[in-house]
Order: sequence, then structure tokens, then C-alpha cells
Amino acid sequence: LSRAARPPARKAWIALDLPKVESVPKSVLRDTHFSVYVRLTERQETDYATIVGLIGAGGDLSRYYRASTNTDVLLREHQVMHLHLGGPGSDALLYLIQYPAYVLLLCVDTHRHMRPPPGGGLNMLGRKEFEVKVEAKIKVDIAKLMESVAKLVRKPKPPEPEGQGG
Amino acid sequence: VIVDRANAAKARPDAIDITGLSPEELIADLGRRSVLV
Repeated sequence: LSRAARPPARKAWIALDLPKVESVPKSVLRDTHFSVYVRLTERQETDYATIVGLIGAGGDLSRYYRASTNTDVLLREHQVMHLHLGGPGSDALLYLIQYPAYVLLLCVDTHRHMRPPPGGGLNMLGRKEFEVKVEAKIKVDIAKLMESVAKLVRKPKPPEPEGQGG
Repeated sequence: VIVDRANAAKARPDAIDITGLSPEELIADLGRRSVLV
């Protein structure tokens, strides 16, 4: 791709506000504060396991969204997506945040976090910790890489074999 | 529905990577995260 056609670089610790989970394999992480506030049916539990498996495999999750996903204030303002467990009419939702290479699961709860102000009752502490840690880890990795490159550049060239000079 | 908020507020040590767990393991793990009493 030319420089102009290339999509903007995405930072691993910046949440995405896309109305779908991208169909590429992503690591699924359970937030430090992840809790289940709903008594789940067998079907809802199976849906949860299927969703986690599909995210890990880069599969299609569109059957767990509702049409309203495009006008979702919680997604737009907090980058929090909600997937329905047990069918589109169910009141058991899996709240999650999508990053370029990760999906962070926040909780399983009712629609209460969708009511105004959207996201008001969600515990975002684990999310903040996660984003800070991912950013710090990537910066350390980059620093290590730059150090290795600098060492290579500084390394003295081996002397040329005799008799091959000009 | 009664929620054990004290338990819900308790932070686990770190975000846990659950990618690759089997459906049975995921469902068992999910059950352990329930704060309903």
C-alpha cells in the first residue's frame, strides 16, 4: 500500500469503537473485576463459551449483535460493546472492550449499563490498569528493540581480508 | 437477585488470558465469577 492508502496505525492499548469484533484472532482476557451479575441458563453459558472461542479463532460474531449496534452510545463514548447471550431478546449481556490484538471481558450483566448515563455503573478500573500495562509493556519492548539495533550499529566492522583493498 | 458486592469489588491479581480454554473450562470459570448469592 502507498503511504496515502495505508490505514492509520493503531496502538495496542487504545480501545476500538467498531460496531463489530474484527474477524482476526485476538487474545481474550478476563478483566480483574470481571463478575457475573445474572443467573445464566445453559444456553447462555454455551453462548459465552462460543463467543470466547470465536474471538480467539477470528470467527464471525455477527449473530450476537443487535441492529442497534451502530447507534450504541455505550460503544461510541466508552468503546464498550455488549453481546447478547441466549438470543437477541435476552437480558444477559456480555460487556467487552475490543483492542487491535485483545478483547477484554468486563462483566456479564443486564441492560442496566445501557440506561442513561450509559456506562455509568460499569467498573472501569480493570480496564485502566490493563491499558496502562499494555502501553508500558509495548514501550519496554520497543526500548529493548532500539537498544539491540543501536548495539548492532555500534558493532565494529570486521577487518577486510588482506589483498582485497583498492 | 441478591448480589455479593463485596466479592464483586474484590480485584483479582491481573487480567487473565482465557484464550484457548475448552468450553467446559470456560463455563466452570464463568460460574466461579458469579456474585449472586
